[in-house]
Amino acid sequence: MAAKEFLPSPASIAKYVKQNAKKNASSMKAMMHVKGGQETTREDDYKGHHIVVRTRYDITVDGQAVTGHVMLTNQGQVQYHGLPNYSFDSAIGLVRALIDQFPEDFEKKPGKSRSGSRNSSPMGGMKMPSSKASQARKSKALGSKSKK
Amino acid sequence: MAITRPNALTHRSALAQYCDGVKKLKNEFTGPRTSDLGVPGPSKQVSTYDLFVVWHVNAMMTLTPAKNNPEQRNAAHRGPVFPAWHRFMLRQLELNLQRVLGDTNFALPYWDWSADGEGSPEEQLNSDLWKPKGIGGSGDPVRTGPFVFDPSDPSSFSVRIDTDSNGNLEQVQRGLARTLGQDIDTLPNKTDTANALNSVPYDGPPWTVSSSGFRNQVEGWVDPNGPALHNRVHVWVGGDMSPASSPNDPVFFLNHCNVDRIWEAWMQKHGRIYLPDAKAPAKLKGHRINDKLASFISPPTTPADVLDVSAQYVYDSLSV
Repeated sequence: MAAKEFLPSPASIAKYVKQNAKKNASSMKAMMHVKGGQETTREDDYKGHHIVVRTRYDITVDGQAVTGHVMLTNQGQVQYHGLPNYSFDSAIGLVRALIDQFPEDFEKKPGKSRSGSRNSSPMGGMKMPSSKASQARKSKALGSKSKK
Repeated sequence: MAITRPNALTHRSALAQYCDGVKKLKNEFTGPRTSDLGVPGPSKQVSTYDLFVVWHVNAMMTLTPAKNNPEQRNAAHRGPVFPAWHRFMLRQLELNLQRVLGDTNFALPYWDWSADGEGSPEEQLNSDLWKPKGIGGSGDPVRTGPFVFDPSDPSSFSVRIDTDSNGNLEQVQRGLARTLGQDIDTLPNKTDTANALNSVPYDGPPWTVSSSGFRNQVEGWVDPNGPALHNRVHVWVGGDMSPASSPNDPVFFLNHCNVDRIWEAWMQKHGRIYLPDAKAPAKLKGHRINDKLASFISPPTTPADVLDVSAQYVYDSLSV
């Protein structure tokens, strides 16, 4: 970085965003909108054998498709691009967390608005610390959850 | 001459300057519009700060490689490039903050979250960082500190672009949300950072969230009891730190500055070693030492270029 460091200006920002925007938009388009189910493939090599496990997810909530990318690790944890720092014990736990984190996306009433609060609540099914104190605190948090 | 990145909690003037600079970048519009960036809805100008949000989402949604990538390594996460890409991003923010602040000596402050993590859950929630004179507290919306949204004041801090439940960019107009300590009750502590510091090698096969080594340890995927280190901080802060649009919360950069400090401490201990090397197979494209890092607002750089930043900045302490 020493010899090549580039000092930004408003003009340079506009120039580079213009250059990169189309490429980035196409990457996003390729990545998103997975409709009609999605398949994850896990592979492993064990004692000279090659293992392939294909898992198909077709997730809906009230009939509405969840189209973000679901990831399944070799340890069996479920992860999701829309909540990139979380791991879940199950796909059900993931979807519960999506409903908690993005309640407006799952409102049954038409004409949802994204102009209000973001709203978040404790996440169902997320891996939590195993200590008793942690569990007690989590239970307390769940019990006192207030929906907005 | 190198600038010195300070501890946000012991150099309060640096934290205040950071908050001031963030608000300036939030209100700077250099030309790009939502329509240029594929964000649905009316075409609106996108601020320089919000370009960092879009950049982060774009990098996260760019799979590397695009196919046959079962654990979904992307251009900034879940693989070897995680510390290098974020170092690149942080430096771009720092240079832009220097520009709008008119201060070439400005240095990003870091949040030493493992120091806070040594306290009880209640003490962690009461850290000075979350006080009105810090960066404000918990809430949806946040109601204290420098990033409070006032609908009647167009220059006040607001979240304008975020991601929906499917990870798609969308336009919003609302206050910042935080749910401190709600999704998980404790921050990482000094034992966690010490373990990361002792973790070798830097990274290794399969170069994913299933790898052993420093990168995966500091990214936070290796603890069977839940999110660790970097990931745990995102989860603990919650709210806008949860989705792919997490740079919406200015604490994002304070978190990553500390991650960068931990990486620097690791390199001081183990050498400026990065893996995989340039001869690694094409399936690792985007993560090899001489591959271009995903750029957006500037020319690209490479992991090799960001391994030694001592000419640009140092940290006031590498005690992590």
